[in-house]
Order: sequence, then structure tokens, then C-alpha cells
Amino acid sequence: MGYITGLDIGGTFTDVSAVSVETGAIYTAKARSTPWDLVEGLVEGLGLVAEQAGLTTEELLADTVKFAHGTTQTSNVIFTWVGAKTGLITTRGFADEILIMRARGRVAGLGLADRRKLRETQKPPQIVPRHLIAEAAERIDHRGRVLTGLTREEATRVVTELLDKGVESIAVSLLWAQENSAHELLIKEIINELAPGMHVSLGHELARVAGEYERASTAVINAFVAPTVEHYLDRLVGRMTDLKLQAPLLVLQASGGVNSAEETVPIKTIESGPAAGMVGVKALMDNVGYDNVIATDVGGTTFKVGLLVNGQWSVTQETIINQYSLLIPMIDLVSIGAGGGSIAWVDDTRLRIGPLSAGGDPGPACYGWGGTQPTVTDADLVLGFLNPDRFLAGRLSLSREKAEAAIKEQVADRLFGGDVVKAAAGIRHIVDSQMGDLVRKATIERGHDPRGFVLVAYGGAGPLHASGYSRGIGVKTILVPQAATGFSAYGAAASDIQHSIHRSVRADLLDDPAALDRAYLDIEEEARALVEKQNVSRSDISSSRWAEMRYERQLHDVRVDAKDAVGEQVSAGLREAFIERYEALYGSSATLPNASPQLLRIGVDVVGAITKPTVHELELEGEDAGAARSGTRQVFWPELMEWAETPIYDGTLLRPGNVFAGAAIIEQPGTTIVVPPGATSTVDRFGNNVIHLAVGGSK
Amino acid sequence: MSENLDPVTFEVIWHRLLDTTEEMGIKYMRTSGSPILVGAYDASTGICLPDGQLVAMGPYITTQAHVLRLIIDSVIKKRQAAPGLGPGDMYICNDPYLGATHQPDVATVAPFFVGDQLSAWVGSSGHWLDIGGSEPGGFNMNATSVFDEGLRLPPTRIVENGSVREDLVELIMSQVREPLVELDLRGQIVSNEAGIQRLTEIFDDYGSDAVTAVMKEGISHVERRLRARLRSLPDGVWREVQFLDHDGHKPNLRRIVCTITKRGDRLSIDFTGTDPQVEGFANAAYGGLRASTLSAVCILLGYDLTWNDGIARCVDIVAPPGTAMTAEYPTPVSMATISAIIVNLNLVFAALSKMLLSSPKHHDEAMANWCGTSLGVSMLGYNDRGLMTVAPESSHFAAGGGARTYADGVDTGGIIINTTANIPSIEQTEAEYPLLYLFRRQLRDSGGPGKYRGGMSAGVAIAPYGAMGDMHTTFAGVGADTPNAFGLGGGLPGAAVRFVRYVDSGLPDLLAAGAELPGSEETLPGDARVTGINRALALFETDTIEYHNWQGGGGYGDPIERSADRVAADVLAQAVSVRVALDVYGVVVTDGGEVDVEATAAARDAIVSGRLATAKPARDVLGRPDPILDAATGEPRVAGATGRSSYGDLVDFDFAANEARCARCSWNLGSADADFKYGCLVEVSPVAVAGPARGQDYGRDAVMLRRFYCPGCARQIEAEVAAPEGPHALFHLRSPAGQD
Repeated sequence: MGYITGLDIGGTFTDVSAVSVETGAIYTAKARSTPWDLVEGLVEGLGLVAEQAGLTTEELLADTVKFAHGTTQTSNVIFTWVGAKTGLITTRGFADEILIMRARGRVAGLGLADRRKLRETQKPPQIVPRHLIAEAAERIDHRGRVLTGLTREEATRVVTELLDKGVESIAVSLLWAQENSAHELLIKEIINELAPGMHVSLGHELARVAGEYERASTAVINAFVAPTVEHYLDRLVGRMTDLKLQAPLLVLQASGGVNSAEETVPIKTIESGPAAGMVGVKALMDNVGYDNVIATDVGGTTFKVGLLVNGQWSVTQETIINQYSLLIPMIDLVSIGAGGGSIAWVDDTRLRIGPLSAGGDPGPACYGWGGTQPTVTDADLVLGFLNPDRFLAGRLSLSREKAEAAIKEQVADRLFGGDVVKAAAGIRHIVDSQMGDLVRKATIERGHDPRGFVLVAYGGAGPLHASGYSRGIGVKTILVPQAATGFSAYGAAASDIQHSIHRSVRADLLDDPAALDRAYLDIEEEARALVEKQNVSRSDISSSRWAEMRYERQLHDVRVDAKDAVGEQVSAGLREAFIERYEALYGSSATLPNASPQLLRIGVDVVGAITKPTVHELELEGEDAGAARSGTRQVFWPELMEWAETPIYDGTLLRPGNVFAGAAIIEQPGTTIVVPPGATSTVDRFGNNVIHLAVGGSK
Repeated sequence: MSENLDPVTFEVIWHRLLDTTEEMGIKYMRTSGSPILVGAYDASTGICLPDGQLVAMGPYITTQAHVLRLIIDSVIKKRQAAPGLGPGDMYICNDPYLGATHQPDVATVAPFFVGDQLSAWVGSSGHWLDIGGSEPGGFNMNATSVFDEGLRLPPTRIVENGSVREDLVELIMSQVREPLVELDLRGQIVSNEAGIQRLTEIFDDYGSDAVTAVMKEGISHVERRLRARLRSLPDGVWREVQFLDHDGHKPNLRRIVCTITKRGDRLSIDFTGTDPQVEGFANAAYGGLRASTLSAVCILLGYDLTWNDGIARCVDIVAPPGTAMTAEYPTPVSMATISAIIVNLNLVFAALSKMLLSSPKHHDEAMANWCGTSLGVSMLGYNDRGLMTVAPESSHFAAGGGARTYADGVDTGGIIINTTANIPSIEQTEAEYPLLYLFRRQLRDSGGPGKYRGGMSAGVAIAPYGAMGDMHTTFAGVGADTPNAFGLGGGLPGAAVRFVRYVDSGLPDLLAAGAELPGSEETLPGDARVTGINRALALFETDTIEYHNWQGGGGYGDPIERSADRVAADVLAQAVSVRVALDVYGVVVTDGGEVDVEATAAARDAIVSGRLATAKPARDVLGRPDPILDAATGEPRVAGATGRSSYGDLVDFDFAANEARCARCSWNLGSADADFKYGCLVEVSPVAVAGPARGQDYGRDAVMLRRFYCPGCARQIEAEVAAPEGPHALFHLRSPAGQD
């Protein structure tokens, strides 16, 4: 017996899923998140799931063999700017680097349109104001040689200076500490002596790579969130122990792996919700047997795209949060502000969608909560794609009149001669095509051919728009997971223990395969030890190598996966992998006949496989889906530019093996799946809806 | 929207075209290698119509995209007949007399064909690390003609029917000293290939007629939107004057004069009155004038539009030939981008800001100047791996932002012409080049004082470190005698450039002893030599430390109206010194960092009475407006104009009564259609009263500061940097705020 319990605490909802190891039965529930104390919402969600399984919360937890959770706690601290009073210690002469932000802080993470609004751009609030930055007289050079040694007296002086100003948490980030960490470690020692229990974040421990601003920014943000996050984890562990949890409490990271609460670096848990979605997709696809996957998530305001290539997601080592740079491994997702809540508006003679969103308040006009701006959801309703009585599992009844009035007044009267349907079809077509452009960006522009990919659609509005944004991209198959919403809790349940380590290396290391292999073995060993510490046996641990490379003297790096680059073959393997990837990205004109590939950083992802839910295959039943057919309604298909009486299926009644032709609509609790004209929809052995698009679909 | 184009099709295709320019930009950056191009994003990309009109530009530097039209025009005129334009061809060009801004900015453009029909162009333009010539980096201070500068390429077919002309690549590479340039060249080809590939897909998907109609409509849409915005602004004339303080050979103050006449939905931007071209390299040719003028219009009036030639259609540029902004062949222009071009951008920006500030509904859209110049700092030597390196020190791209009318300018916020600000990290630079940085610090008092302060710039100190053999440096730029980031609405200018060499520093001894290193300008050891800013290649001795700072942003509003708490916070943050807090802001900050409220009130009272005691009626000082002013304002206010307008919260205009009054004390400043400055008191002082590093270190007093006060309440309404003679700034409203 036993359960695998996964949770994802998001900004609005806490999703919980418990999977029985024995039967594969999945129980899911949603509770409102409780930002003042996230533990409350989590406990409520656990209670709901336990009830479904016919258990008490204590019984469920006592019987839980794996407990993994993603939390929005770190994001909450950063996005509300309420964290610890943080001080920074840095090298003399360079206190302002964190304030200068390489000048890019003013526009980091903004899209081109926002960057052009010069007047509105500014740097984010300073986490560490200038007077809480102390400079230590010390200097190390680019080869790690000490130019000015740090004395204990000097270290004590700077630490005391900050303590006297009442800091609650300290970041230490010195120039070139990634090459020689002695000075950072000495300062940590002094802080521990003078202020035992105070949080200390060291730049080189968080990221052993070059870039003084990026390391300092990472250390400062970690120090800023750490006291809150650590306190939260302590409380959560205590509460779960009280509720009889025996299994270790695992925390999901942005990289898609989990770590025990003790091993968790706070900053690495930021944005773990979207990562959880990708982990869920990967777990599902491993079962279904697809290797190359475009994962698409459409919510109310954001459209996110991630890729699995050969069964692996890609990870970035640097990301932007609130305009600050963070050196943390994160599953690579791209996003745009487009979703059900995106507002349609008229700009001169143009019909624009977004970037403003009606969000949840006032929400789309059809919610009847006072919104008067037409949104994508309003267009979906007017066109007949949404059933006004079954939205959000029937919890909200939508007003078609309000949707029509908003579209008519704001769009149709001004651009479409009052034709509301034509206007709504236009809104849907434009948003679909902009989302499709993001899919194109994530695939074609990165050297991947979408024709070899299956597109997975989840999130409330993903299955509703997937057929639209797949059009013209070349994707042939759309897969909508059985549980297309609340997917991230499942992802948490499916996650493995993971440690990624990367290091800057000297350029000439590539010429010495033996030394390079040793360098890899060193960090592999370091990562393995961290994984083993969490009770994973050596035989369950796997490691994959990667590197960041470029042509000599270039400035942009290309990440190269080189799983098999080992032993004497390591250098040749990396070179080959780099040239192949570079050509795929930039074409053959970009290669330089005389330039040699240069190695900048090496990295390993070490994964400790732990229990995960197995999906039990179901028996295929007949093709006839008639039993699930709940009726028909008029739907306006932009593909046909006309209304068609369209069959409606109740997703909860569809059985594995059922087959039917589009145009059709499948209504599921929480989402609506659109099967376009010419497509065929089937239900696979795992209960997923798989839509085969007509080949050569129109734009 | 034209008849056979519906809004949905337009939106779908337009989005893909914009994505294409962005993808081109990203691919260009990722395949190039030069720290200027990639580290500072000095590049752009674009898609153009068959006649060269810009449809959409990619990210990064706006002026780089604006050159594409003129370069395509040159390619068509010079090469269409022979050797011809065909599918798979690309032309490279950096000739400043054929559209380029200066020789190091090279553009490569590719015609796009559907069948044999020329249907569009794509192009990419960027700053190469070296372009040959006698000075590394391409800035030749000693040049007296374009022949002394680097390689000049007229439109040259670098890619022929899909094949790169390796012979031409080699020809170029054999003229330049830096092998990295090949990456810059190939990056442009990669970028254009990506553009052609995407255009092929888009044209295949939607057909030639639809895509062509969308490209044209995309330009017309921007034109209509800008015309509507122009109609909503008052008619009038705004003139500003900017300065080039050095010609490359010597200090030589020259004026650029820009008179903007806005009437209905058109802007005329007239450069009559600008000083003649000079022998040195600090001139610009017409391509640079056009690119910088349009960039200023894009930034201030087109911030919510796609940047394309729809903007250009609303603007008439009038510029007599042979001036510093319209230099004629073969005048040298290699320093144009960091001198005449960026100064001109700020000049047009200042005049447009005053136009926006003249309309109540646009007050928030005006801004004081950002850092007004750029620099070319190169450090040469063999690094510790034995590689010859040319370090383009580009910390100065962390320049001060101009104050807004409601908020401070951004400290070290980036340079105005770049939408994607960036400077290299210290570690990235030290790893690659034989240099040791002693500090990189925001510069106290560098932001122009004002009710809202201009953004701080920064300063950097560098010494040779671990070089194999001797090191050399060059330093090019303008803006040391003159601060070029002017304030607005009574705000003061930001800091000017300072270049100081600390010789006999003893640094090698400090390093040998493992001693503490200096970490601020005040503690730099050695003999400080303030150094002229255009200094050709010179030895960089191991016991010399080179320090320089760049320009801060201009302030907005009267400094004594800044909240005293903000001034105290600035003192705590090391943004403002205690001395400037007292002298300029009239705020007394105690040793504990608190505001001394009583002493502050007294200090501010003293400043007010000092102004009234010292200042003289402007008419007595300025005399009559000069002849050019008369010509520009020959037209009176719009017949029968009634209604009201205001200049920020500073001056109110009543057209029915034909009066301009101080918005605070209602003092009558003259008629509504006259320049209200002539109704003010003026105090003329050295620019140094705005703070340290305003040019006083060079001791030439090339320009002065004129502060204009309301005679009634002594409010500082305007503060201009002016030359002793010649045309000066002018303000003339012909109508109150325009229609919506």
C-alpha cells in the first residue's frame, strides 16, 4: 500500500494529488491558497484529497511514501518585496555593481514594445540599499590569485558595520570568488561567530561561474527570501510531522527536481509551479511513449511553451526575475501575455489583443463581474466553443449577452460593421496566431522541426485553443492529458531528486581530455553525494553531462548536451556536439572555418530516481463514442467561416478506444477540448484525448 | 486599412513580420563576437519595402536601423543596373556618404524576391570592432579626410546567388587588424538569411499581395497614429542649441541648431544655423543626421508605435549642406556616432520635450536629456595567453537617464539610443583583457539637480595588468568642456566627461606587496593629470591608472522644490554630496543623515533672495532675439487663437488675453505667443554651479549656464547651457493645445 502525494501551492489555488501506488487511482483536489500562511491552504487541500480516498488526513499522510510539494512562498516574497533586511559585503571598489545592474536592469526581461516606452522603464526597487553595502579591502584576480589578502580584522570590520545597522540576513559576493573562495568563506566564518543563526548567502556557493553582478544578485535575492522561506519550511515540516507524515518532505525546484527541506536553497524554488507542469508532461509522455513534445499551457493571462527533446527538457542557468538576474537552473519555458483574459481593443484601424488582461478581476465581460472590455474568453463564448453552463465545472454561469455587448461596442461596431460574430472570430484567430508564433519561436527558431513533435495542451484554455495555435506550424498530433488542469500537483508527485552543478573552466581544459574528464567526475561526485545524502541508493542515480560553449572569442554561449562524452572521448564529444548544435541553430554560414570551439562552463545534472506514480493502462473499448455524446450546438468555425451544428461529447463518459471525427467539442470539468473540422479524435489507453489533425491544414 | 485587407489578416501577418526582425536581431547577436556589438548591443535589423522604406526594425540601437533605407537606396541606384540584384544576393556598405553613420557601422542588406519580383529587403547593421585605418577601433583623431580613416565600402556584393564571396571576405579581413571582425561580418549574413527564410515562409503562407499590403499598411498605420498625436499638440516653434566641444584635433566649440516648427500634423526640423563642418572627425553626414533625428522622434512621440518609416513621413528635415551635421565628401566623420549623432539626438529630443511640455495632456511625456554623448575607449595589448586584444571599454553605456516630469531619471540606466542597455561585467573583461579594474562606481552629484534629479552616471579606474609587452590606449569623444545632458523646466545639466590619468601611481609596488588597493577616485595614488578627450594611441604604463567618468542625466524642475527628505535620502545613497545638497538644493543634512528642517528653510529662503538680488531682466542680458529667431517666428500666433495652455506646472498661457503668467505667482511674463524667458530674470554663471565635473576641470569656460527666474517668486523656470554668442534657445507658441 501507500500513496504518492504531490502538491503545488500556486498564487490562487493549491492543487493536491494523491496516487495510490497499488491501484494507480488518482485523487485530486483544489483548495484556495492562503497567502498569509500557505500551510493552511495546503492542509485544507490534503483534507479534501484524503476524504476522496476515504481516509483522514493523518491516515493519508501516515501511508504516504513520497511527499513532494511546490510552493509559491519564494515568489511571494520577491514579488511583494517583503523580505529580510539584507546587507551585502563585496570587494572594495565594487559596491555599486549591484545597483548599476550592468545597466540592463532597467529593461531586463521586458519585451521590445515595453523597452521602447523609454519613459516608463526603470530599475526595480533596490533589495539592498547603498548604505547596507559594505566593501572589504581584498582582491583576487581572474586566475584566483590573491592580490590583497583579506584579514580577519577587515572581515570583522565589515561584518560589524552591517550588524550595527541591524541587517537580518547577509549576502557575500566578492570579485572572482568562483576562482578562489577563501575570502567569502572567511567572512561567513566571522558572521557565524558574531551573529550565530544569521542567514548567510555566498555568491560562489550559489553559482560558481563568472559574472560579478549576476552572482551578487543571486546571493542578495537568496539572502532576502531565505529567512521567510526557511521559517515556512520549518513550520510545514513540523505541521506535517504532527499529522503523522513519515516520508521526507520534498520541495520542488525550478529545475524540475526535488530536494529535502534541509537541502533546499530557497531561491531555487522560485517559479517551481510552471516547472512542475513540465515534469508532469514528461512523466505522462514517458508512459505514452512520445519523445519530442511541445508542452503548451494557457491560463487566464499567460501562454507558456516548453519543449521535451529526446525526452529531456532544456534548462537555462540564468533567468530574470523582477528585472534581476538569477543564476539558478530553471526549466526553459518561454511565455507571452496571452490567455483567456487577454483584452481585445481597437488601435486606429487595427484589432489588437493584449497585452492587457482582464485577469480574474473584473474578468471577462461574460463573467458578469463588471468587466466591459471584450476578452478572448468572450469571443470563445460567442462563437459557441464554450458552454455557458459548464464553465469551471459549472461553478460559474457565463453571460453570452454581456460578451456580445462588449465585443459589439468595443470591436465590431468600429471595425466589422457591427458583425459581432466576425469580430469574435477575428479575436480568436489573432490570439491563436500569436500563440502559434511563440510555438514557432520555441521550435523552428531554435533549430527544431515541429513536424516531429506532438503538442500537449493543458491549463484551463490550452485544449480550447490548441487546434488554433497548432495551425500552420506543422504539428500533426495534439494530446490533451486526462487531467489537463491541476497538472502541476501531479508533476510534483512525479519528480525525482536532482542536483545540477556547473562551473566556469579555463578555456584550455578542452585540450586536455584527461583533466576535463576529471573535472566532470569531480562535480559528478559532488552532486552524487548531495543526492545520496537524501537516501537514494547509488544504483538509482544517473548523471548527464553538458557544457556551455562558443566559438573562440564569441560572446554568446550554446548549451551542448553531451551525455556520452566520457573518458578520453570527452573533448572530441563536446566539440562534435557543439558544431552540430551551432549549425542547427544558425546555419552553415555562421560557422568559421578557422575558429575553434571554446569551452566555458561544464555542468552535470545528477538525478536520483525515487518512487513515482505509475499510470495503469486501461482496456481499449469500442470505437463508438455515442454513449458520451451529450448533444449538439451551433459553433462558428473560423476554419470554415460559418456556423455548424457541432456534436458535443461529455469527456467524463468517453472510454479508451473511442474514435470520432471533428468538428466536435469535448466538455471536461475545468476545460473544453476543441476538435477542428477534418481532425480525428481518439481516447488512448491512458485516458488522454489525442487529436490527429488533417494533414496540410490551412493557416 | 485598404479595401482588400481585413484587420485579422493584417494582425496575423504583422506579428510574424515583427517576430522576424526580432529573430534576425537575436541571431546576429548570438553569432557575432565583438564586445561592442554583443556586449553593448550596438546593432539593429529591419525589413523594408522594395523601395527601402522601413517596415519594422528589430531590437537594440535605433539609429542602426534607420540607416537601412538610405543604404538600400544607394544599392538600388548604384547596382541595380549592374551587376544587378538577384535572389540570394547581399550587399554590404559602410560608406557614410551613401547612408551609413560612420565607417565602423557596417550594414548588409539582402533583396527578397518572389519569382523575379523584388518584393522586400531585409538588412542588419552593426558596429564592427575594427574597420582598418590607422587607428584601432576606427576612430582616427588625426584624420583630415575620409582617406585617413578606415576601409570604406560602397555597396559591394558580398553574397552572390547564395554563396558568400570568400574573396571579398578576405579582402575585408586583410584590411582590418582584429580577426574577430569576421564573426561580425558572418553574423550579418546569418541574420539576413534568417530574415529571408522567414519572409519566404510568410509569403508562401499568405501570398505576395497580402504580405505586401500588410507591409504598406503597417507603415501607414504608424503615420496615421503619429499625425493624430501631432494634431493634439499646440502649433509653435521650439529651438534648441547643442554643442560639440572638440573636433578631434583640438577643443573647438561648435553649435548644432535645431528649430522645430510644428503645424497641424507635420513637423519641420530645420538645422539652419548649425556651424560648418570641421577638419577633424567629429562631424556627421546626412545619414547620421536623419537617423538621429528620426530616433528622437520615435522615442518621444512614437513610444507606443512600431518604429518604421511611417514616422519619417510626418517629418521634413531641412539641413543646409556643409555643416557639422551634413558634412560633405571627403570630410572625416568616423567619430560621428559618439559625437554629432548622439548630440543631435539629444538636441532634437530637448526641443521635442519642450513641445510636449507645452501641452497639458502631454506634460508627462516630456523628459530632460539623457547622457548626451558617448565615448570610444580602446585598450590594446597582448593578454596573458599571448593573444592580441583590443578592449573596447564600454562601461559608459551605463549612463544617466534624464529626469521625468514626475520622477527621477534612472541611475546608470543606459544610453538613450539603445533599447536594450548593457555593459560588460568586470570579470568578463578581466578574463579576456590584460586589465585590472580598481573600481566602477556611480558618480556622486553627476545627476542634474532638479525637483526630480537626473540619473547618475559612473566612473571607472583601470590599470594594465598581466600584459605581455606594452599596452596602449586611445580615448575619443566629446562632452568634457560642455555637459550635454540639459535639464528641463528649470532642472540643471548632468555631469560632463572627465578623463584623468594618474601617473607614477606606484600600483605595481602595491601589487607586489599584496597591499590594499585604492577603491575610489579620492584615494587614487599618483599625479593626477586631467587629459584632453581626443587622445590618439599612447603608451599605457604599468604605473599609470586611467580614470574616466561619463555624462549624467539632466534634472527637471527647480532644485529647491525637491523634497528635503529625498535630498537626505540621496545623501545617504551617495547620490548627492552634503555640499551640493546645501548649495544647489538648499537642504541642510546633519551628520546623522537627517534633514535640519529650520536650517533648510533658511537656506532655501537665502537662495530665493539671492536670485532676486543677483539676476537681471533677461531683455537687458539677452538683448533682442537674434535674426534667425525673427525668421522662425515671423508668423504670429494662429489668428483668433483663444483658450489656455501651460508649460508644465511652470507657465500658464491665456490666448484670449494673450498673456503668459507664472503658474505659481501669476507674474505676467509677457504675451502668450512670445518667448516667456524674455519676461524672466536671468542669472548667468559658470556651469559648475550645477555641481562638480561640469567642465570646470578643463578650465575653458566654453559655455555658461543661464538660469531664468520668475521676477515675482524667483522660481527657476528654465536653465540653459549656452555659448557666449550665436543663436540660442527659443520658445514660441502659435496656438494653445491642439485637437484630439
